[in-house]
Amino acid sequence: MKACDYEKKKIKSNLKENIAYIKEITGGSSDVLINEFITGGISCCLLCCEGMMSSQTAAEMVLSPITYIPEQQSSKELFAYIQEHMLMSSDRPTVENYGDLMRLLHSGFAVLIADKMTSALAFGVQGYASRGVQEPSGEGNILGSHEGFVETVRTNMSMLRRRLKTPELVMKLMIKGSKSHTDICLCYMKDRVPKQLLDRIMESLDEIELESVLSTGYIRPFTEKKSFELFSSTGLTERPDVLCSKLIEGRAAILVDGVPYGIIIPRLMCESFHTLDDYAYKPYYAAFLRWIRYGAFILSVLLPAVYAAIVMFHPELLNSTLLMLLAEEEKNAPLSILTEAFIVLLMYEVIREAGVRLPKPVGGAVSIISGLIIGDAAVKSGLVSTPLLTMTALAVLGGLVVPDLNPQITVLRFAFLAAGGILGLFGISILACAVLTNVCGTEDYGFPFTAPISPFSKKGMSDTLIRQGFRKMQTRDFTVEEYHE
Amino acid sequence: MNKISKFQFSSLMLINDVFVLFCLTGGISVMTAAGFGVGSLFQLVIVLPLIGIYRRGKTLRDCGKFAELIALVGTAVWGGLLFSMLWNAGELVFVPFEGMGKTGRLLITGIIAVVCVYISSSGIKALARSAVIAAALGLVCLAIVVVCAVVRSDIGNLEAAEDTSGLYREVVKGFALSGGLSGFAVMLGFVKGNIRAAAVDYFVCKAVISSIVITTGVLVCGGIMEITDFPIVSAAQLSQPFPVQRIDSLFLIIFTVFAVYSIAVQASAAEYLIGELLPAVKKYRCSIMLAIMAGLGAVFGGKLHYGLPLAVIFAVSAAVIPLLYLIKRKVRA
Repeated sequence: MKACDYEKKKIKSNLKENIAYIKEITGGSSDVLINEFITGGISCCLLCCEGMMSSQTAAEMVLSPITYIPEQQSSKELFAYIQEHMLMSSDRPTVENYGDLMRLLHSGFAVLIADKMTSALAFGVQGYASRGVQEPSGEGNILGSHEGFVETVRTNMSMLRRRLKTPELVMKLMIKGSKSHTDICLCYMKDRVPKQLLDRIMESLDEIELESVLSTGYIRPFTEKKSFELFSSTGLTERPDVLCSKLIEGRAAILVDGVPYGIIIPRLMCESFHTLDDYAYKPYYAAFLRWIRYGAFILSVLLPAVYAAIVMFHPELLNSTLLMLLAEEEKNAPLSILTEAFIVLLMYEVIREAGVRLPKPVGGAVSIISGLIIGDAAVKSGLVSTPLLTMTALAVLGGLVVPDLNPQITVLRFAFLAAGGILGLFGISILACAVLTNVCGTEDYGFPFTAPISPFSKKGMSDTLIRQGFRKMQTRDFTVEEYHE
Repeated sequence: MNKISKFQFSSLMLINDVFVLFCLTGGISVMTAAGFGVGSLFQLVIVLPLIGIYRRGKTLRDCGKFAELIALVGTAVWGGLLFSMLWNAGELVFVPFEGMGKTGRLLITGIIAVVCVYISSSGIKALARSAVIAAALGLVCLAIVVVCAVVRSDIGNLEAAEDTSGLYREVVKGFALSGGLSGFAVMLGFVKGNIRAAAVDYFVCKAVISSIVITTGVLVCGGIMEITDFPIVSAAQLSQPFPVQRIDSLFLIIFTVFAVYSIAVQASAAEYLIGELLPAVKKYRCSIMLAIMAGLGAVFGGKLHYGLPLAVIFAVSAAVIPLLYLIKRKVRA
């Protein structure tokens, strides 16, 4: 049966017909439990979805009290009695069509239908198995909170609420995905977020007509421009504290049920170089760390390319000692520097991918075997020169400093290497112009990705080039709208 | 809205002017610096009526199709000259394949054209924003070169490079190398806020930067000016901050970036003008204009023309636009 066939259909008044129709809709699925019973002298049926609800809560809050209902004249009176005299759960909507009924049933609600009633009562007794709150795996932090988002959207919402106990924080739940019926939560501070941004995000979300929403990757393309952008103008975080700081700055966020990440809209490039620890350290040290990250990013993208370009086309840039050293090493290598660099980088990507995809114990072993054994063997056999391997390792290490931009760094590293290896510094410069233009052209909802550097904002520099102290920052009253063009 | 700030506007224009300085050939003297400075101020006077038109909320379109055509021709000719300058100076700054003759030049032109097409297609905002970053990086590198050059300069070089041609000839030279005025006329229309301040800031910066760079060139290369083809490039090469490393090779990066942006600005301006003149042509506007510019560059043959004719052409192309606006208004009245 197609979803559109039953979605808007009103609940039937005959209990037997109702049960038969529900069975037809669910196709006799084993996880849908149909319990027929009589209470208050009325034939009823309690529908549950196994695994989606808490058996203990259901037994204590619904099953036990519902059996002690005194004799009622009609089903209508029975429902009125339940609604007026019994507070079985805080979330107890009334549903009138099969679409809503199925949605609630599959979300872990217990649904009560009764004979001669064209509506049903739902009780929120959700309690499915989910991962507990753990430390985020990708956004390491030393001095801040160690809590990360989990897969349950409502837990994530509570994590935000715990940090922002203000009525200004609004969290709007909506459902996306015609098959998955995924809960999506749009979060914002109603006194901070630009109204235009909110309206346009809502418009973007309305465009989604997907059958399923299984990760943030399903939503993000709808919130970004259609044209080709190297960098993403929406960000991801698995830290509730980071998300809260962004909400306070007037951004909006989207939480997706089943995904332990929140989407931040809009995201600026400079934010990829910020961590929450920056705000825990002394400003001078935080600024130092930021510059390390900026440097690491540039190093990571350009080092292999510049090395290849200098050695192949511009050796005059090196002093004689370094030149002799490199010449000595490279003369034994059987392959050209460009080929060597490509092979080493490709090898690294293969090893990294293997390390990520394989089970953790094996993944670690693969990394060690690949790094130590293959790397050592490659150098000793003369296939790869030591300086090149050093440059590549440094570049790769630099990329790990800014995990947010890792996909872009990886691709750009290869592109720049090709440009530098074929056209020298000229090629690197030419490609840099194209990349710079692409990055500067990245703009969604009127917020330039490269702000506050270009377009330049003097005020924004206090949290970009340096990290201002909180005494000064508290008077800054910054919202992202300042960057709007 | 495709509007740019005055800061972005100045960056777009100054990149073009500094690139011209890099490609400057022949002898230069303190008089050249003065000539470029005075020339910049004259240029400001010439474009004042145009600024007045823009300040009234009018656009280039209000000046008529003929005015747009003149601006288009000016942009194309200047784009051609930029290609010509690039080929001329390319070999000196170690652009690979430049030594391969026509094939090498064709390859370099092709690569630059492709990047320029991409940059232009990204829109005026992306171009302007990236130009600010490029200009800032260029300015830092230029400052390093200037500081290093000043440290190693010899005040006696000012006298050694004395020019007898006089201020008039140097002003003409400055005008002949001011072909960006057509692009200026187009880009000024995109500026948001105080248009007059944007134009004044740009010309003042141009005069100051040109004078500093040329004077630095004279201070370093004054004694060997007769045997120096590209005095500014040579100044960068001779002013090594360290005794061994050839840090001047890094000059290539700035040279290339500025070349790309200079041509991209002209290509964007030309693309906009073609769109105004021939709205039916929706695709390949930029590619067509870049092909024309490269063709004109080939016609100029890598030789720079500092003479009066070119100076007059560029000055008139900027001055005639407001004149055409006045004529159009009179005719309508």
